[in-house]
Amino acid sequence: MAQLAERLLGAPECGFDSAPYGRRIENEAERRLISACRLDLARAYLAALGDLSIRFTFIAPATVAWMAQPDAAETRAVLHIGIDRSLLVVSDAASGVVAQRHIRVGACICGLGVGHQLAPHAGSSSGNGCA
Amino acid sequence: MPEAVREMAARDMVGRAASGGGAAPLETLADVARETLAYFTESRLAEPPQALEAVGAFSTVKGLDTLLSAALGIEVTAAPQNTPMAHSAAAIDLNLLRGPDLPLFSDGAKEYRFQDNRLVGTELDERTQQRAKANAGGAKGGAKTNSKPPQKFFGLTLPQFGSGGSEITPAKLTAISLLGAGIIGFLAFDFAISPASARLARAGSDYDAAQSRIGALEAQLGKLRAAARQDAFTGDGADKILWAEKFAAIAAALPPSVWLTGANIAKPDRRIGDIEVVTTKLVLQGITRAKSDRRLQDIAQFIQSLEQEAAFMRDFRRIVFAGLGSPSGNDIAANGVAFEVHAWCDENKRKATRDSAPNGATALISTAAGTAATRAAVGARLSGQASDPALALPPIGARP
Repeated sequence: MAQLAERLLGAPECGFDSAPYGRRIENEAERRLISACRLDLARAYLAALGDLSIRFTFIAPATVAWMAQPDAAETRAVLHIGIDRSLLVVSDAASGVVAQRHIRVGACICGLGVGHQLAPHAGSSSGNGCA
Repeated sequence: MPEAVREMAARDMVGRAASGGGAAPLETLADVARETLAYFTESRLAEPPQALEAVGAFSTVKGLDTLLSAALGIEVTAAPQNTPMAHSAAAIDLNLLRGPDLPLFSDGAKEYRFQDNRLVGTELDERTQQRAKANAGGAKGGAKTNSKPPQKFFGLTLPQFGSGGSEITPAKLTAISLLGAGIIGFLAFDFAISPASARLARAGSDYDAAQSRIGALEAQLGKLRAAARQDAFTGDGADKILWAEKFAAIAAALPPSVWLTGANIAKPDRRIGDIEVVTTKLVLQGITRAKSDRRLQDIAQFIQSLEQEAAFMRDFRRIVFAGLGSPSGNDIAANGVAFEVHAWCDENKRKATRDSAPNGATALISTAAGTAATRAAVGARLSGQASDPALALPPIGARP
């Protein structure tokens, strides 16, 4: 699993974990949810916390919080609008299917008197694209 | 703010998208959401969602819920702003700290790994602590401050290595050391090596001058020695006859019954072939009062003794008997018999001795030493203190 994470992320050191997700059917392999992150990124998070870093016990992807619970019967779809990008997570705990999309469109707070607008980022790599 | 920008900012993005005024960001968002739901239901054969929960900055965008609801055909609900999402870690247990068994960070003395659902620190050895401090200083960007007080040495704060920040690192110390060594080297060259080199150069030139002067002096000394040697053999004093040694030799050669009555130097003219030469001879006149049968024997003994004296014969070629006669009164029995002996001087004999002597200063010294020894021997003989009894003269007034 470590090699898989390193190959997918292209990093020499990775943090990773897996958990079962989706009901298991007879004669079918267990479906597991695998998540990984670059370890240097995790270390940067810990270093930014200073002395509080030793109290850290948990790092999980935000997607997990927006996924359907394992015992949920319905499909769950969550759209998170960020500052410069958005995340769409659609999950079905019964079948264990999870679809996740990163959309380079985010809300940008441009200032007083201007209002809150949606900023395009698709195809643009410079700035927030506030209009 | 430019007027065009202000106008664009005031425009409702949702309204612009609805009026077909171009590819608005919301169209992109709606398209991606629609395609994702289609993939989810058609490709993965999962149940479509009944609603779309919108979180984050969703509430700040005007009309987004209406647009998405129309585009997706499902209800779009917005979660209250700033309401944290329910944590589902208890249900989906994913912890990215759990996977790697690697040190995650260190605080200088300990490095921390995630073990048993918590970060556990392990003590580091000293070298690892130094290295970890350096790494932590670079990785944390100064987030953690160094709590160790600076070390003091006679009131001066010593630099701390490996703590990051603005403190002196080994690389900086190496650069400072190289710079200091360069400055010291320059100062040493400027204040010590350069003057010493100049002094050495001056000393070398002085040495060369002294060497040339020594050479000149040696040459002059050689000339003086040669001149002295030449003067010793050919000068005014070279051919002088040491009469003291002659007289000492005569005194030693006299038999007890022989008396000297006269001694003089004669320089008669002589002709050798067609050449007229002036020669010198020592004329010795004496009387022998021995018995008649021993008179000629005493004279012969006297001549033979003189000839055997090297000191006497150094300047004389030969000794001849010149005549025999009666002293005044013709009373031979009472007064004895008078006789005369001539010793012919020979200057060439001394020259031959000089030519056979060694050359140079050694010869000069040998000659001087020989002369001094001869003079000492003669002096000793004259004073009666000669170590050799055979050479000692009888006391004055003593009669045989």
